[in-house]
Parts: sequence; C-alpha cells; structure tokens
Amino acid sequence: MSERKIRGIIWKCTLCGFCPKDFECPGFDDDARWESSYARGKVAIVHAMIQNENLKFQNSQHARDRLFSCTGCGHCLYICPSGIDVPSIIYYGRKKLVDAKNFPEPHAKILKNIKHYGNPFGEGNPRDNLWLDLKTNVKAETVYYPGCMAIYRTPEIAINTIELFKKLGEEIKILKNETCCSGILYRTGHRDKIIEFIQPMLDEIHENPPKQIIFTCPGCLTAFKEIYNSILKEKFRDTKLLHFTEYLIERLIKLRNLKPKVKAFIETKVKKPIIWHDPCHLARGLGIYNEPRRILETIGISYIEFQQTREDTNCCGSGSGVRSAYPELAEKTTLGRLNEITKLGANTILTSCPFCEYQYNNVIKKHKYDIKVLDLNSLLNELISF
Amino acid sequence: MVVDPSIRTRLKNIVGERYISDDPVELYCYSHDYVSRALSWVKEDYDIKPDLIIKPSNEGQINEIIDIANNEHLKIIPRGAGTSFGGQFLPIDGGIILDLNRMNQIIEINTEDNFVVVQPGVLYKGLGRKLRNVGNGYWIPCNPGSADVCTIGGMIANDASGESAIKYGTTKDYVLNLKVILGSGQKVQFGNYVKKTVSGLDLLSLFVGSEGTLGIITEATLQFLSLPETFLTVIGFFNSIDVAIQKAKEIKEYITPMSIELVDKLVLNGMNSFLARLTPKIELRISEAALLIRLDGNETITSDHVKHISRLLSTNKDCLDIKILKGVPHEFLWKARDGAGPSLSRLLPPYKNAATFSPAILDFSVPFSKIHLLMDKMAEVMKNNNLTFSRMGHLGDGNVHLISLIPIKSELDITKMGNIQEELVNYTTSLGGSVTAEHGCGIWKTPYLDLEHGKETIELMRKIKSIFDPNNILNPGKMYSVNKLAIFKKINKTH
Repeated sequence: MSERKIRGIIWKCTLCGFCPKDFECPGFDDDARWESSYARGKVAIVHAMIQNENLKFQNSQHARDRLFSCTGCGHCLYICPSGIDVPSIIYYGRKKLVDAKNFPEPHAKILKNIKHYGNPFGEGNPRDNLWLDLKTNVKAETVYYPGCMAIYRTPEIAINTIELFKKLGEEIKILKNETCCSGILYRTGHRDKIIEFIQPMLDEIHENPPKQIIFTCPGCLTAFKEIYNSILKEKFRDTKLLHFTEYLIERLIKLRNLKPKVKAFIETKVKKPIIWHDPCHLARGLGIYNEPRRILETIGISYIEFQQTREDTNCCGSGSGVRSAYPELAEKTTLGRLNEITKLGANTILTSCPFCEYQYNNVIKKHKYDIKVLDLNSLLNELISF
Repeated sequence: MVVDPSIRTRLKNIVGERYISDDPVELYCYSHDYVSRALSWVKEDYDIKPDLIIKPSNEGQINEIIDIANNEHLKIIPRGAGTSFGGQFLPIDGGIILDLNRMNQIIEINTEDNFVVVQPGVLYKGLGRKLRNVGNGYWIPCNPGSADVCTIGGMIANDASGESAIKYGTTKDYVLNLKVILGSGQKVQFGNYVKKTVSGLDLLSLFVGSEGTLGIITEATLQFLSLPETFLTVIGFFNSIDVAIQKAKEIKEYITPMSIELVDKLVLNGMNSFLARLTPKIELRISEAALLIRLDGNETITSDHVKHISRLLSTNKDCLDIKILKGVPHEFLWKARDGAGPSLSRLLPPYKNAATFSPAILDFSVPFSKIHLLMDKMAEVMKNNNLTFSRMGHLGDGNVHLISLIPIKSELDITKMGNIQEELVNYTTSLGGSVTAEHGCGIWKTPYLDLEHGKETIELMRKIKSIFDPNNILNPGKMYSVNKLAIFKKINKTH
C-alpha cells in the first residue's frame, strides 16, 4: 500500500481505544501496559512517522521494538468498530523503519537467507532435489505450494499432503521455480525486495497458468492472494488459489467412508480430547474456518473449541517476524494458549498451519506440556492408511 | 516542561525504571484520544503532551508520588484506559500522567453481601467475565459503550453509563465504597458496605464523576446484581425519528426495558457494515430510524413483553418492520451498537485526507418530552452548515448524541465544530437539559458548565476542589476551568 493509502486509513481511525489488549493482542505488554504496545499506540507511532519526520521516530529504538513486536494476527482489525486495517499500518511503519535501517538484526538474516537460499532459514536448497518427480510433472494442472515452513521445519505436512493428493487421485506438480513466497519480507518491512525474489516463480505461473494452486500454509496463500495484489497488482486471474481445506471441501464425498475407522483410530492414535486451533491468517485473514469444521464433522472427529474461535481466534504467537526477533514475546503468547488448552482439558491441538504447529511444538517441548500437536492433513492421511 | 532530573530519579525510585517513561514515542502515544484526534492529526505543531508517564502498582507508591507532586508543584493527570470521549486525561498543559493500569487486581468477590473489591485498573470486561462465572452469575449492569476496554477506575471517575441507564442507572449507583488519596495527600475512605445510608454528607457521590480532579482512587467496592436469565432485543424500524420517539414514549408507559436506543439511517448503515463480517450474518433494515428495545429478566415474562411491544409497534403504519434477536446475534447487535459512532468511519471514503469525524460526538440530555425539539434543532443547525450528520442516543433516559461527518481540512473546521456545539449547548440548557449526559466535561464541555449550573455553583465546585486538592495538582484545566474553549485557545494562538 502507498503512503497515501496508509494515511487515508490512519485518518479513519477515531483513536477510540477499543483495540484489543491482554491475550487478544500478542504485542500488548500486559505487565507495564504501555499505550504504545497496543494497536492505538502503534497507529499513533506510524502517524507520527508519516506526518512529522522531525520527530525522528524512524530512528527510535522504542518505536522499532513496538512496531516489530506485532504478530500481524489481525485481531485488532477484527475487533475495531471503524474497521481500521492496523496490520497494514504497522507493516508500513516497519517499511519506514527499514528505510531508516532501524530494524531487528534477525530480520536482516531472514532477508539474506531468502536472497541466497530461497528460504528464511538459510537451509541448503533441497527445493532442487526434493520431490523431483513432481517438479517435472508438466502434465498436472494442479500445483501444490508447500512453502518454506513445511519443507524445512514441518516436513510431515508436505509429505502427508502429497500422499493425500495421490489418494484423492489428484495429479499435482511443484513449481520448478518455487521459492519463498516472501510474505515475511512484506510483513517485516522489506517489501521492496519481494519482486526480485519471486519474479521467476511468477513468470513460470504466467507462462503456463495452472488450473489451481493449493496451499497448506495460510501465510503463503495470503502472500499470493493479497500481498502480491497489493504491491504488484498481481491477481492470478487464470488460476484458482486455494487452501487445502477449501480444496478438500469439494471432495468431502471421498472422505465419508473414513467414518467407520475414526473411532478405532482416535482411540489408539490420538490423545483426546482434541481442540481445534483456528490459525489467524486462515480464519481471520482468509475467512476459512467453516471448511476444517465441515471436514472434521464429515469424518466424525469430535473436538472441543477454544473460548474464542473462528474470526475471533487468538494467535499462537508466531508470525510477522516476532518469533525470530522477539522470541520471548512469541513464547509468552503461546504459553497463554497452552494454559487455556490445559484449562479446557484438551490433550491434542489440531490445526492447519505449519507456523502454528511449529510454534506450539517448540514451546510444548521447552516447557514439557503433555500436549500433542497434529496437522489436519497428516491426520487425514494417517486415517486413510489406518 | 521537562521534569527535573532529580525529581525524575525520585519518581523512578518509587516505581522502578520499567514503569516510568519520558521516551518521546511513549509521550506521543499518551497525547492523543478521541477528542484531540482531529486537532492532533491536523496541526503539525500540536503541542499537547505529558512530560512524564508513571505507572504505580499500589497505594503506597501513589501516596509518595502525590507527596512529591505537592512539594514540587507537579501536575498529575490520572488515567485509566484512555477511552473517555471528553479529553478527560489529555495533558493540555503538560504534567505527569499517572497511569493506573497496573493496579488491576480483583481483591475480593463477596457473594453473601453482593460486592466486589477491586483496584482501579481492573477492566470492566474482565471483571464481568469473572462475575458471570461465580455461582449462578452476577453482573454490574451500568455498561458504557467502551465496556470491552474501560477500567473500573475510569468508570467511577467519569460516572460512566450507557445503554442500560434507563433501568439500571449509572456507575455511581453501584459504588459502595472508595479508598482515595486526595490531591492534598490525605488518605480517606468514602462510603461503607451498605446500599442504604443517610449518615452525613454524601462525599462518595461527590467523588464519583469528578474526573480525577479531587483524588486518586486506590480501591473500589462495587455492588453487583444477579445476572438475568435471558436477554433479547426487539428492533422496530420506522419511517421517521418522530414516530420512533413517540413509540419509545408508549413503551416507557408500559414497562422500563433495559435499553431503548434510537439509531438513524446513517448509523444503521454503519452498524450493518460492522455486522457484515460477523457470522452468523445479521442485516438491519435501512430505515429513517430504528428503536433497539433490549429486555432482560425471566424468560416467560420477557416473552410476554416481546409480544406486547411487537403489537404496540405494529399498530403504526410508519413501523416498517420488526425484528427480534436473541443469543449470539443479539450479542453482535449490541457490539455493533457500542461501536456505532466509530463504525461510521467504515462508510467514509478511505483515501481522502480530509474526511474525518467531528472531534467529539456531541452528547446532551434533555427531559424526554423535549427530545424531539432537540432532534429538530440538531438537524436545523447541521443543515445550515451543510454537514452530513447522524442522530442517535439512549432515548430511554433522554440522552441524545449528534455525530457530524465534518470534513476537517484545517483548524478552522474544528473551530466551526466548536461553534456548532456552542449553539446546541445554549439550546439544550434552555430546555432544562445537561451539556453532557455521560461523556463528561474533560476539556470539551468544561467551558459550558456555567451555562448549565450558573457561575455561583461553578465557584462552589471550585471551592470544594480547593479543599480536596489545595495546590491544584490534579488534572488541572478540566471541569473547573473557566477558559472559553480551552482546547481551541491553543489553536487560536497560531492565528
């Protein structure tokens, strides 16, 4: 978004202060409770950076820490009576800070890693040899876009999803020029670099537009659907962009025969009760929260709900560079979720986002919670094979 | 004014480095609110800001801070969630913001005597959640529009109220007891633990609604009630505001519902745009006016009331439609109503630098029989100024709001808004009404208090203030200020 647009959004903010606090806002400092730590304060900071450069907020460490300690979960946008797109305002503020070379060091590393390795983790490049047969499957009209997190940190999601495609009879391919979606760069203020990294991938899509691209990562899907449109006016008019749960909803009939197996499978393989976690980008950002529930209901998996669900879901703590730059903040947010899960008596978290799964698993391991995390696709694939 | 470094060190030693700030970014964040917004967003040399922010965690720390303030002639501006609509906490002449959000402990919930003891920074929403889950459920029903985010201390300081005032009154009706540190530094307790008392002057009521000008609340005891069995809302959609007011009168003659809210066409559009993204979907019929009649209580009796009210509404051909909501849709409706003012932002074009709200929603109350006159006057004034506007309010208790979508392109537009307010204030007081029903004086209504109360009464108020706060350290420039439009004087300096 341009500065003019951001200014327009800021002007619509009435500063009423109805923005979420405490556990509803991961960035909120629930101890000292500073005004700058929640949405209204952050909007004011960006306003100052745009309106009055003499204030030099773009060079302030305090402004940097406040604006970068936001997971982009979008809860403020959902709750805001005026519908102010606070995450976009914050992302723009981050851009101003990046322009002033005032941003967290771990984000510089992410940028460097994407540039050199095509992923934010700086891993060697298995994209070239992983699922080689899928990369050369030129006939397939469906593309699966696993995303960096599923390739490098939660590979079971990618592997199980590919097996699921096979079992559903869907011929798929992986883009030859598949690389990091670079959504993280947009969210951390490095938006100007994105085009440089994703251009070959976009060219490949345009050259031979697939019928559909299926995503398992809501963050990647958001990058394709919203970020590329926002900064590149890229709309993918010839290609449907779908999350796996949206794709599956049209094939529910194929899952109905799983129902008789569910009881025995759940009894032996899963620790009950199961709780469904709505990932922020999926449920609130993309409005996809009925689909996973319909899938679970179709195959007869019972689950419990958090107190706040669907578009009102709370964040797992990972997102928008917070896990890398402010790990203690990410961990605090996750612990809040885990404590709620414990209170509700659930033993297994079921979700559909590699970031949420990875974040939960790390904190569970570190703090020795007796809670398992399951990805929906992995559960479905195991269930089919059971 | 910059706080002297040696004083800053003394204050820091009281609360700790983490809980004191004079970082320019933090000061900027504490310099804005709903009222100041138009001013601060327009004026490049906007100069309202605190000198320091300090966050005590207990009564002892507040005591020490007040002592230093008295000795060193510092101004102290107490602050809760910062959601008031009158500029109550704006540091118009600098000073130290005493942010009470860290004092957020619920000390006691007593179900035998139906009271709760809390620190001032406890959130009304959090306390509500807690009370709902005790026994069969309790509540403190004087919810303001900012119920989701405001603090109990802020509610008491502003005698907050909202949609349920017609039946359940305002915050002062629930405060039994306050522990307070006065501006003088004296520690006192107002009230006791009983609802009924006539012993001595009622200093508790004097303190509630004093907007942080007399003392700092360190602990509050509030009465709670049993949670009603059910809530539901009948919505009547009308051809005109006049018909809606007439129907509200007829309903009031039959029962006292929890709320009778009037919203006009523009607000209905704003509420619809808020509701559109929620599931389940609710869409309100767009009409010239609608009444939201909220009922609470026993299921059977409430159902009877719904039938009666529906019959009463449908007898008029100008009633276009009736809708009844309960459960989740009912909750969503009231969320939309709470945020109705700010939700009008959704209707504005997004990229116009000039389009914004008035600096404040105008807030008046008049006797019920005079509401239609005030409504007509509002329309006349706004039309004369060629401004888009919206009228709404808590009709049941005579409290009406005017929202202007005044394009604020320069400071002159803010002055124009001030002139409109002045005209309406004069009219409201001539009807026997109040210049502010619930939003408070702050800086926005302060200049008009003498119109409502008379100069002698204001002088009495200031004398009372001088007893509680002899050095005038607490929230100066608010409520007792005699400045004409204090906030606009700051603008006029530049002209």
